[in-house]
Parts: sequence; structure tokens; C-alpha cells
Amino acid sequence: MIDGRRALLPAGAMLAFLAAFQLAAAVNMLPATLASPLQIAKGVADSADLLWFHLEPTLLVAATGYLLAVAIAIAVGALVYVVKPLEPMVMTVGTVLDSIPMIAIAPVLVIWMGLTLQMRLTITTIICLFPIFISVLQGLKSPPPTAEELFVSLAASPMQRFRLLGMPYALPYLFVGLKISAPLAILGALIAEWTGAERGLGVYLLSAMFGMRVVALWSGVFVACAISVSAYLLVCLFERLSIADAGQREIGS
Amino acid sequence: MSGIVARRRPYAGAVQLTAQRMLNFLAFLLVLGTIWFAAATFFQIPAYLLPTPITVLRTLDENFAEVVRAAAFTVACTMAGMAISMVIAIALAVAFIASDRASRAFIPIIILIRTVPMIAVAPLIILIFGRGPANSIGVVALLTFFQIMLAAKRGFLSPSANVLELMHSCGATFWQTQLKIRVPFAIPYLFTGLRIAAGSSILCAMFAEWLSGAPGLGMLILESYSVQNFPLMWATVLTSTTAAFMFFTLTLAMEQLVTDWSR
Amino acid sequence: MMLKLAPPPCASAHPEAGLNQLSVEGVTKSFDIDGRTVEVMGPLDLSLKKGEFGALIGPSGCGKSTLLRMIADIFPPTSGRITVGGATPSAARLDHDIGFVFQDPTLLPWRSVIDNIRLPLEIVSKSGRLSGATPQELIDLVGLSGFEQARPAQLSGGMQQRAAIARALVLSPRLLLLDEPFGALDEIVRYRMNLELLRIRAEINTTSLMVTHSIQEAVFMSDRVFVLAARPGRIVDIVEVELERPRKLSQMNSAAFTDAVNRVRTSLFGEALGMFGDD
Repeated sequence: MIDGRRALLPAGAMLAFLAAFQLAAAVNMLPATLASPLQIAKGVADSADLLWFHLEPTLLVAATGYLLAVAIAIAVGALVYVVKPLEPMVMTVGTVLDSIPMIAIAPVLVIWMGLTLQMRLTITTIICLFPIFISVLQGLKSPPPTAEELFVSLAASPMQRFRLLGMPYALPYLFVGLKISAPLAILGALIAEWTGAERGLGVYLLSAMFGMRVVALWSGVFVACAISVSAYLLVCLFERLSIADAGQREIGS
Repeated sequence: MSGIVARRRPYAGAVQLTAQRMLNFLAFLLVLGTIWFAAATFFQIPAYLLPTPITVLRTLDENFAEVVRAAAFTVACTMAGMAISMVIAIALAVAFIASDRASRAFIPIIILIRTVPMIAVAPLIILIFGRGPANSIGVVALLTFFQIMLAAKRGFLSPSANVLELMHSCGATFWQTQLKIRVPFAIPYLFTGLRIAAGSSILCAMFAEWLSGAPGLGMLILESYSVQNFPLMWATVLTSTTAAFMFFTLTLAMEQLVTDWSR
Repeated sequence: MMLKLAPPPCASAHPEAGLNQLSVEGVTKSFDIDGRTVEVMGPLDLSLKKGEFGALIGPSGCGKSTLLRMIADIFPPTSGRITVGGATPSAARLDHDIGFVFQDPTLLPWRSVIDNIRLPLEIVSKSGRLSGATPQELIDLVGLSGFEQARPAQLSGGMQQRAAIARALVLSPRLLLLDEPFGALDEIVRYRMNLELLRIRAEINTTSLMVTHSIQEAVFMSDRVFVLAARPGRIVDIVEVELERPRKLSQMNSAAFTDAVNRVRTSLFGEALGMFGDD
């Protein structure tokens, strides 16, 4: 995926971009609300301890919420696969729930659970859930019709169909959903903290925003972006390791 | 069975789709309303916390002007943001088609940036653009930009090699090829990209308002929550869900229209 | 080498079924298309004795694949009766008495060849069935020795189909159904696969019903050719093939072969002419 030579041009472009920014800062042409790359780097380095202090709970919530979402998505996917008539209902419910703004759900969750870890986990899980679920559903529908007929002719039980046919075919699609949702988990943790928390990267960002602390905010956002990208790349790596390649050569007749 | 398939009017598909989805939505709301009512009565949830659907509707009616004003603000910001991002996205897509170098340099960066949820950057946008409508527009524009740009690029690249060779052999210039071939081919892809972007754009606008205080639906929800006016909060939630759903349905319908038309 | 496959359990055998391994009586099938009921097939009667090889041939739309799927209990007939070894298709399917080979080999791409053949064994929890041929023996039988660990993508179409045939046989079914198994292969490979299938059958002697588009293949492989017509699907002729087994390609020059082919062709095109002509 990341080919050394092909990365040269975009890396070069990125560096040029950053250099231009730095130059603008050097001649004081940068608006007050923008921080130069060097300032960001320095900001991150200086506040490393503080940033980690806030990053830790965020990462915890993000990871836990993500795993919960995966579990729920696969479980509901299995249910819909086995009991097909449930699908339109589940889809409608899912799409509409997806349309309800998180900022409406958040206050309800606060009333219900208080400003607790569970509340934050719930928000994170809800935000990651839909893309994973959609991709599981799509993947479970991907086996060719003859494969489904094969399993009918073999008199396989619904769970056997799910385990031996549905899930393996669904795996590539599942990974698409997993990749999309990984950064969303980080986002979910941030939103959860904006809803109510004492500690966390979201709290850090908000406080920097209200306090007009430009460098701190840019540093925090940089860290948020970095962990989002890292989460995405981690899932990509996991995908590479999990899905074994089928052989390519044709052997004979 | 006879071979001739009746030709449908181009907009029939779109109209049918819209009608179907609105019906489904209404049905869902009715079911939800019933469950809500039943649950509230059964569990004896205090009315101030979870008012009955009727109370909510009445509140909506009473505060109609205020809710509609907020909705108008949010929708306007969303559309403005999407319009801006569309212009920039298409312009960039054309530039990337024109220059392979630029494409190889910047596309990987854009793909990488796309993995970051733009809402996470919202505090930064608010810092830069202040607390007015500009930050809502900015967040929406940022969010939709990547999706639309990549969709436009894919669309521009979609004509087959044969068609492009044809244009080349006719001596067509870059812009002629662009306008006569690439744009028409790209339109369905563009609408698909719009659809994907539209799905969350209203919610993002509301989100920016929630954080920054711009006078839209997001802010209204926060306000009514903080003064414990729960009926109004729920009324606003209902409105925003409906608005988001309708907006999404609109893009779906437009996509259907364009697909049917191009057939 | 005579492979020992498990004898069919007696519990589901019907004493009055006589020698008929497969019996289709008065079967019709209708589909609901756009609100109208379209009768695609029927009434249709067909039977196969134990160990017989039947071929189904007919124009598109005559319902041959549909018939096969009704026998396999993939969906039910609208009316009529089907029995497999004296039992209903449902009972036969749940008893794993029916092996199905699809036109597309339908091997699971992430499993090796031997794991694909083992798939039915994994699904069936009854251990009684395991007294039949092992997957390895079947791999040797269908001529895939050495390819046990290969992935389907590494095999050619013909080899994949062999694996599919092995998989269909692993539970020692009473009835083997084949839906144009060699339709996607080129002619040379097709001849070879025909001989292979006949060789496999000589070892195992399972009652078989094969759908095919090729008149030559139908006559060469079978004991009886059922010629179908379309709209609605029905049997218009049954041609007995009087050729000795084991079949050899040289028999394709014999008078018996040519006669049978001609008769099938006449029945097929006679009906087709009827469609366009003065019917």
C-alpha cells in the first residue's frame, strides 16, 4: 500500500506546503488564529505530558466503544441474516436513528446516565455503529446465489450458514466498515467529552478554544488528527494480516 | 413475454423514491410516537423529562416561527457550505485531471486527510471563523469537500479509453474533451458523492452551532436543554431529524433523476 | 477399484417405491411476475431407476434448472409430487440424500480443495454418514491428487468442477443432480470431463440427472434423454440410449449414437418449429 517511490511526490508536496506556511509565519504574514508548523511541533513537545494526560481516557473510551460497536454490528447482522424478514425494519430503524443528531441524543443520555463513563461509551458506540453495521449487512448479502443454494441443498442450519458462508464472504466488506469507523471512534470519544467530562482530549480542545490559546488548540487538533490517521492505518494493517491471499497462478487443466 | 419494455418518464423514479421514503418515515414516526406514548405512560416517565408526542407537537406549533427560523439558518448554512465545497472540489478535480503530477502529489494527502473526521477539527474552525454562520458553513464545506472532490475525480476519469481516443483522434482540446465528454459522464458520480456528503452535512452544521452558539437548530437544542424546556428541545430534535431525512431524500431523488435521465 | 459408499439408510426408504430412485409426478410450477401468475412448467412426469443416468435437454425457458431445484428442495413445486428414494424432497435433503453440482463450481474461495470437499461433513453432525468415502479418496477418484491444499483460484474451471463433483459425493447421496456442470468449459475440456464423470460414476453408480444444452453430451452420458419443450415446460419425448457401458468416444461414430442424436434433435427442433410455424 505505501510504496516508497510513489510516496515521494506527495511527501514532497506536503513539505513544500509546510515550508510555505512556515515562511509566511516568519515574515508575520500569518493570521493570528493560525499557528505555524514549527509552533505546532514545539507546542506538542512542550505539552507532551499534559497531552498524554488528556489523551489516555480518550483513547480508552474510543477503543472500548469501537469494540462494542463491532460486537453489536456483527450480532445484529447475524440476526438479520438468519431472520430475513427483520431486515427492512432494522434498516429503517437504523437509518432514522442515524439521522437523529447526536446533540439530541447526548442530553438524553446525560439525563439517563449522568456524566459517567457509560454515557461516554454509549455515545462513542452509537457513532461508530452504523457504518460497521451497514458493511456487515452488505457483506452478508454478497455470496453468489449458487453458494446460498449449495448451503440449502446441504441442509445447513442458519448459524452454520452464517459462520461458514456469510461471515467469510462478509469479511472484506466488514473491513471497509471497520476502516471508516476507526476514526469515528476517536470522534465519538471527543463528542462524548464535549457533552460532559473532566478530562480528555475533547476537554483540552474546548478549553483551548474558549481560552483563545491558538498554539495549544492547533497542537491538540494535530494530535487528534494523528491518532485518527493512526487508528485507520492500524485497521489497514490488521486487514492485511487477517485476509490471507488466495494464490494467483493457474495450475493446469 | 413481449420484448418491448414500456419507457418510464424520467422523473417517475425520483418521485416514486421520494414518496416511498417519506411514507416510510411517516410510518416510522407514527410507530415511534406510539411506542413513546406507551412507554411514557407505562414507565411513568415524568412529563417534564419526556413529554408526550402531543405535547411536543403542540410546542412545535407554538414556537413555530422560532424553530423554522433556526431550521432555515441551519439549512441555508448547509447548502452554502456544500455549494462552496462543490465549486472548489470540482475545480480541483479538473486541475487534477489536467495535471497528472499534481494529482499524484496531492491525492494521497487528500485521501489521508479524509480519514480524519472533520468534526474533530470543529474547535479550530470556530476559532478561525468566529461564532457566526461562517463556522457552520466552514465545517460543512470542509466535511463535504473531500467526498465531492473524490467523486468528481472518479467521474471525470470514468469515460472509457475508447471514447477518449475518439476525442483525441478528432483533435479535441483539453477543454472540449472536458466539457463534452467528462462532465456528462461525471454527473452521476457527482450526485452520488453529493448524496454521501449530504447524509451528514446538516448534522455537522448543527454540531458546529452546538459548539459555537450560532443561531441554528443545534444552538436551539442546547438552549432549550439548558433552560430545561424539554418539549421545545424534543420539538427541535424532531424538526432536525425530519430536515436531515428530507435533505438526504432530496439528494437521493436528484441522483435517481439524473441516473434515469442519462439512460 | 470399487469405492465403498455408505449404503442408504433404510429408515427413509418407502417399500412401495419399487426400483424408482426418483419419481416426478404431475409437477407444475408457477411464478408470480408483476402480479400475474405465469405457469412456467407442467404438468411433468419423469422417473429414474436406481443407478440410471438421465439427461434433461431443452430450449431456454423450459424449466430444466427449475425442475432440478424442485427435486433438490430448493423451492417447492406448485403442484404434483416428487419422491427421492421414496421420501419427499425435504426429507431427502435433510437426510443429505441429494448431491447437487451447479454450473458454477461454487467452491468457497478461502478454503483449500480438500476443505471444500469436507464442507458437507462439517455441516452434518451425524457420524453415521462418515462410513462413506473419505475426502482424500474422493480427491483421488476425481483425479485431483496433489491439489488438496490448493485454493480454488489456482485451479482451472475443469478442475474446480471436479472438486465440486467430489463435494457432491462426499455424503454418499442417493441422487446426484447436475445443472449444466460443463457448460462453462470449452469443448475439448468438456469431452474429457464427460469421460471423467462417467468413470467416476462407474465406481459409485449413483442415480444421476443432468441438465445439458448439448445433444451429444446428453446422449453420450445418459441411459435416457428427456427432451423438454418450453412455455409451459413439459416433456415431449424420452429417448432411450442403447449404447454399452463403459462409454467410449469411439461410440460417437456408431449408428445407435447417431440415431439417438437425430431423434433428440428432431424432438427438440420439431417443437421449436411448432413455435414459429402454424401452431
